[in-house]
Amino acid sequence: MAVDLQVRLGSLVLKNPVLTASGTFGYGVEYAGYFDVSRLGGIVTKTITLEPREGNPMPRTAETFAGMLNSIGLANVGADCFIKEKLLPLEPLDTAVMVNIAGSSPDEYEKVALKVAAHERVDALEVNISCPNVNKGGLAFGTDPEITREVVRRVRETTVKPLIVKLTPNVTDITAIAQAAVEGGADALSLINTVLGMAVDIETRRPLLARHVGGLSGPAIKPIALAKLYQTVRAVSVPLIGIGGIMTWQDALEFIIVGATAVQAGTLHFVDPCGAVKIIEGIKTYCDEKGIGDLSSIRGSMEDGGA
Amino acid sequence: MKQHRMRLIEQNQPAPGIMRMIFKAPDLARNSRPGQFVQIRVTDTFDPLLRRPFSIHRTHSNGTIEILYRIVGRGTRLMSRTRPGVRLDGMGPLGNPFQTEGNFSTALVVAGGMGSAPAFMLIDTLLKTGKSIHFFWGVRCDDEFFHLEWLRSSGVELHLACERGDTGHQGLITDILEPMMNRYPDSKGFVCGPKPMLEKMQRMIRTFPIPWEVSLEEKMACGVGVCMGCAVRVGQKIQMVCSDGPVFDLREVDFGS
Repeated sequence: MAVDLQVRLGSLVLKNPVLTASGTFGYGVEYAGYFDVSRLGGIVTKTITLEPREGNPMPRTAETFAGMLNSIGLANVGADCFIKEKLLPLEPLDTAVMVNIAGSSPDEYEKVALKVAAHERVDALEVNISCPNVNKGGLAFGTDPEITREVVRRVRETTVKPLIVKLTPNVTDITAIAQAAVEGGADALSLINTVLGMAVDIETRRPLLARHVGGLSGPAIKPIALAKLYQTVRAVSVPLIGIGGIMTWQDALEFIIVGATAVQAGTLHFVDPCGAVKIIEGIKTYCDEKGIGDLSSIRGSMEDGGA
Repeated sequence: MKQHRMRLIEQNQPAPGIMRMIFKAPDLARNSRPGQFVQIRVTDTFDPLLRRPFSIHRTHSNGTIEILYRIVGRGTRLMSRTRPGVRLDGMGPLGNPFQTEGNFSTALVVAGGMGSAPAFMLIDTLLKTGKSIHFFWGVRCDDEFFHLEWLRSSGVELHLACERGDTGHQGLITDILEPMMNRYPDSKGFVCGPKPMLEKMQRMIRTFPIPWEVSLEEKMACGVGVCMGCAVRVGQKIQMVCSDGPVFDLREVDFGS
């Protein structure tokens, strides 16, 4: 019997637990020529802000060991253009659409949420309070429990659709932020956003990113992501979405065994555009071979002690 | 499907320090146009992590494609050790090609350094259109020239410059191009090369009212327009080199200096 991969995030039912991470999958159709996007559990769009944003100065990406730094700065078309032009191509897709949103004030979060969540094709919002590459909002909000609670509460008031809050690892205690987000009304949490990082060219003695520091992603951050997930699983009872360096189905299963309900693949798309589908297939095969009929039976099934 | 398992047929050095890979990749060869590029994954592991973008240097009717590169870091060093028979994962063709059609009678192709990579496929394509071709090629050292005999025998007018060596003009390619430009009013220009050369070209063509296309190079992560990493200001807008380019109107590019 084929394994049941269906998972729930609040009221939202996903056909499988594999999603795309914001900022790595554009507006959802850019990779359509490479694989059938409808096979995914869901797509999370690029961050949408109230006004269009050009993003940060160049250079804004750099490769590091088993990872990459980015300081894109939430470049996007803005909420109005997103609704007018980017949602229509998503209509025929048989997959959940989650729109990642950000603002430079709680007020702006509320405004963009109000605009975006009202659209029928939008199944859920992911609230980005963890971008390390902007001066206002982003990381500055997601490192403070009070502001986190306030931002989430304001967005919560705009919609009954599932609300996912995306957390930063760049804090002393991620569980304090996780609890604040749940108190604010989050239905689910996604973690982690990128890890603050830096790299320097020793010839020119310049940082590789124009904005000096940026967000590290890729396989290099997976152990950090797992540890943050491990801490958060014990602190809150809402579903958690694991993110951070997931490149293979084995990586995804680690997150699920620690307690993730779903996972997001991000930097993977740049390396292998079809990688997310390979993760879904790999999880299926693993479950079939182990006689697992329902994926949820292994969620959070990690045993004590070392391997 | 735009992802190809490209089988390496041969790897050689057409000139010192310049590596050439020849792959069997029939779909890619058939569908590629000059100025487009391929994103190659250099290893099956995740370190180095990202694909590397390479201009398509040439394609052949036997289903092969060629790329040129210099060994500049970990990725290209790994590539240089790849043996024939190995298959590398290539995404492509990516980006928008040069526009070789049009009512011009003469093509001015200007290449500096590794800008010769896209220039050859451009010349191959222009040769089929019957237009006359002037190829302005500048390199650091004259041992970096290759295929000169083939170019001459194909009817391409060659104008060479090197900073060190005896072949052609001693200096920059822009030195010999500048005084010659006004000789070709009914022409179209194509340029690819290092940024300082492109900036100089942009200044030079202010008083020379023919269309000029430029192919830009930039470090890339995704190659398809989703990561927004390879931004450049063109006209009044932020554009992505990978998906909006790499070919742009030379006059509109803001080189940021």
